Amino acid sequence: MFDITTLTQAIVSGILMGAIYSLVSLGLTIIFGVVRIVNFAHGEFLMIGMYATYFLWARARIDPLIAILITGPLLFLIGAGIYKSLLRRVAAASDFSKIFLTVGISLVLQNIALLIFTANYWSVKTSYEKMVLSLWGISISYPRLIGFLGAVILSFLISLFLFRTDLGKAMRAVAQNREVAMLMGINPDRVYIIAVGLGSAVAGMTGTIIMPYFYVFPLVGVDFIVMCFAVAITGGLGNIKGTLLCGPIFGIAESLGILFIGADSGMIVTFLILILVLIFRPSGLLGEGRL
Amino acid sequence: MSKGIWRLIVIILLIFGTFTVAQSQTKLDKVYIGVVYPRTGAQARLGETCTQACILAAEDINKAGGIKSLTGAKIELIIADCRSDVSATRSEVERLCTRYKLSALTGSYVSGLTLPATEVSERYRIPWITGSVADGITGRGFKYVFQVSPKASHFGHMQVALVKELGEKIGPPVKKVAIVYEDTAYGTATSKGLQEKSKEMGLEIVLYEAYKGGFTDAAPLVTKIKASGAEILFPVSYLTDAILIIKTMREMKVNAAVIGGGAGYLMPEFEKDLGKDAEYIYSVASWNWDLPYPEVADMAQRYEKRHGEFIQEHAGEAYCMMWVLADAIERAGSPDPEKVREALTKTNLTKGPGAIMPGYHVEFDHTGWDKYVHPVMVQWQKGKLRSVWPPKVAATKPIWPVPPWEKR
Repeated sequence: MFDITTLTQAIVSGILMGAIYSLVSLGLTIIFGVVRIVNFAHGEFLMIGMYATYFLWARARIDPLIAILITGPLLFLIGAGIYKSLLRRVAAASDFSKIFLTVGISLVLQNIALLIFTANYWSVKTSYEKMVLSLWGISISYPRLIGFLGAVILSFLISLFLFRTDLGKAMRAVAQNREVAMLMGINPDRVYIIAVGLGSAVAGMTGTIIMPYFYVFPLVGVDFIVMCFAVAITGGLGNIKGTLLCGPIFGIAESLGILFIGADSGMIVTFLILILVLIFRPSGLLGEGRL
Repeated sequence: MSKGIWRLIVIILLIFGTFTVAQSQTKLDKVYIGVVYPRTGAQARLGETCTQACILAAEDINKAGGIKSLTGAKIELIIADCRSDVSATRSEVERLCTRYKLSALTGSYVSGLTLPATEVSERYRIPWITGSVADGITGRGFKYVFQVSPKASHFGHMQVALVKELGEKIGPPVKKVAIVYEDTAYGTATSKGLQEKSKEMGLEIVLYEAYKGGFTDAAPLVTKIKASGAEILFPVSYLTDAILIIKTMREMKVNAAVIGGGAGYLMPEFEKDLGKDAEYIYSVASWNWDLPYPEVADMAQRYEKRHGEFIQEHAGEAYCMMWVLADAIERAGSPDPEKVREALTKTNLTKGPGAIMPGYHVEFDHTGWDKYVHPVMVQWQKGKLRSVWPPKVAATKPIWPVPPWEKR
């Protein structure tokens, strides 16, 4: 039906996009794994990261690749601030309270953005935005390639942090058993702040690396977040490896779905995978994890 | 503290109260026209341009002496925000119709909002003039609805006619076309017109594909377009998808000439974001800022000076419609909506700012549709959206064939 080049192109595009899905979902899974809060405002952190990138570029001509050093810490502070002022209050409450709170935060952030930035679409210009890598008839644009590499490097660094540093190990300890971790002298409250901050920072940095080929508007988070929830849940919420694996799977599934079923198939393939995984492996492909 | 706030609220309410009371009293020196566009929500971007164009038109009419048959009565706009939402539209129109002595209403470039809005205005027997394109607007047997714009089904016909003619006259002749459209009412209606006309003109449709709007990656769709081997692409999309489709086409070197179905392909942001990549892209439009009519240039220039961007199609229509209403009220010699409706049915404008729709002749048929209007084909040339076809309304020549990406 389709020749091999077309098929390969679809798979490559899927993998490039999938790495981005993985990275957004990674932030989601860190927050859930440690703090046990499903963060419905995650897409809005992505949106804030994108706006920050836009303004750094528009006002100071800072390239998104450098802006990442600013948006990361900025979103860390915003995430940590939201945890300290709001999320901490519901840490012991029911899941419903947590969900309502994060959905509320999401709506508030969207509407603040509408108020300040209006509904217009903004994008950045970079020196490499029009460069394309062509290999055996397959085209890969530089911005997407850079975004992909950025996502891989960031995922690697975060895994390194969680598995090799004392602070990372402390986070996983709290995630796995809060009481025992406290007995070992770990302050869980501090760990929670860092986890939410880190999760938000990842979302913000993802926003930065997609900015060279995407555009920002107040509801941009919504376009991404549904897919990223599907990725995080299929991978097993709180399971880092599962999340990193499922991003590309969904990217490829989406891409091939459009090729073979039709471009209006939209999320059909995505949700079909999600439903099948939930039926046969209710806690996700690699099992629900605690980091 | 709380007492202070309460006092403030009461004072504000009182002020608002006196305002509305003052406005709802009919004064002989004013004619009231309701202006209903989405100014907030998803459709606010273009709704605001239309509202601003109405304001500009009212200023121009009043500066030119107002309604002379009513001893120079001034046009006063009652501006409402229908919030991109059907139920809000209904209640806003209801509010305007009951609270103000309106002579007429105008508004909502969004067909999905104009349809329910006119149901309300029809009940109150107040004429409504619109630039919405849905075929259904004047197809319902309503007596108080007037449509100056081309209908949705005509857009597709125009797009196909353009490639057929340019292909034959300048060459090479076109054989294979691809149609991709957003799976919304607007996308489906426009693509149907494209499909019919393509078949009729003997073009082979190698891809006919609906897609889900607001995608994060256009690569899979463009891969499919590339594989189809189409020479012409007819995409119907809103701004964000339009930008992603064009960017990805350049990356994948898909050289099909793009003939957009309006919407995203016409907006200033399209050119701002794509820069040189927007060059040579065609689209269909219901109006354009450079139409070769004497009344257009000055108005378009003043709008651009005030708002920092060129006046877009729907805003241009909004400006024109305000003059059509002024002409009708002038001839009616009365602010009474029944008489204004009567006058509108006898509208026959062949000059002046009320005639600046493509065709330069505004006259309504028995359904209320402007029977001389037709869509105009536009092309991005040197960063500007120019009218290029049909020759009667062209401001400059179409560039054809569209050069491949590496030569742009």
